[in-house]
Amino acid sequence: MTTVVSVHSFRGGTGKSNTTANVAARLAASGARVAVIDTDIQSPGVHVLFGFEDTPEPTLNDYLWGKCSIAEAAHEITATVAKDMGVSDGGKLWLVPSSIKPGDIARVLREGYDVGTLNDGFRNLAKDLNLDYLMIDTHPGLNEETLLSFTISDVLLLLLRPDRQDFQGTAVTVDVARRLDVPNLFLVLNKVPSGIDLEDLRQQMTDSYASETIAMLPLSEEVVYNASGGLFSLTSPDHPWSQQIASIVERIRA
Amino acid sequence: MAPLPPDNDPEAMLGVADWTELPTDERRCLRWMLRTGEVTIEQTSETLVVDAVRAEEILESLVTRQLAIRIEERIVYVGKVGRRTARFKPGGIWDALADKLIDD
Repeated sequence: MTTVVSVHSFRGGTGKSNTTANVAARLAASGARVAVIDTDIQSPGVHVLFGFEDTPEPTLNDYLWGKCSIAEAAHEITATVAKDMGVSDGGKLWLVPSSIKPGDIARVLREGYDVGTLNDGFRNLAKDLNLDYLMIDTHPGLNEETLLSFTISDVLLLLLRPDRQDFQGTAVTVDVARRLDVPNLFLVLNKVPSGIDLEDLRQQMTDSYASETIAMLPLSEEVVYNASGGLFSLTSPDHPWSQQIASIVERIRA
Repeated sequence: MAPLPPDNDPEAMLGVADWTELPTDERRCLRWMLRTGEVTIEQTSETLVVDAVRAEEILESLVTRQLAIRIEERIVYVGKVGRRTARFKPGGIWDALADKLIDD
């Protein structure tokens, strides 16, 4: 049975795509069959982390418009992981990108699409590629696609920054996720400045959301300078940021 | 009050946001159906740990809410989710934008 992991945040800029890509790559490196699907069709970006300037075709958009199967829109990118880190036997990674073409984005906004087709795509992708993990990179905020991904997820990673707007929005998201019976809801605090009492912050989050905080990723100049130019946790595996990514991977695998 | 789709619009159906207001059994069932695909009354009974009569009630409730379809010949049900509606803006802004971008 495929474990479906949604990576979400109430607000943009929290590091969803970076976290998704790095966690997926490490899961694949550990020997798992993993696919990342970029459902942020209004503002796609995770493909950049896997080294693509433009989105490879066909894309998720093509699948939603009936031009191809979901498996045809899945591009194998295991080599992206293998160039920086050993991949255990059986490990595979695929990416289903959303189109970065302005005309395609405008068409989705103009015409809408059948959300049921997206759900069929999740299910068929898991079956066709015999996936251990399906990771869904979502659009921030609450909309039809993100609520669907919550509904079908085994694990929901909610990212937030130490910021009052993020804290308030995350409370709303946690409430909705609970109503949708997400089995495993985990919080990931990202861009944590140095000098903060981490244990105090973790306790505040536990008290506020009654959910486990599984990682606290430090605000890191090295990660910023990396500028989505690759998978930082693979190229700098000993960095504290990468070690927190490893913690997320371990928690998902558990 | 658990939601029902509007009576006056045969094309209308509940959106994902409405699922949060469904009764617990229906919500659990729909979630499982979306992951599984086609399901039977017997499978529903086993998964939700309810008797067959109750399982059929839950499935029929989802059909009434237009969140599932009954395929008569095989007596299976399929979860159903709606369409993401187009974002209509005054003056056909999306048309104008798409036409321009496609032209470019």
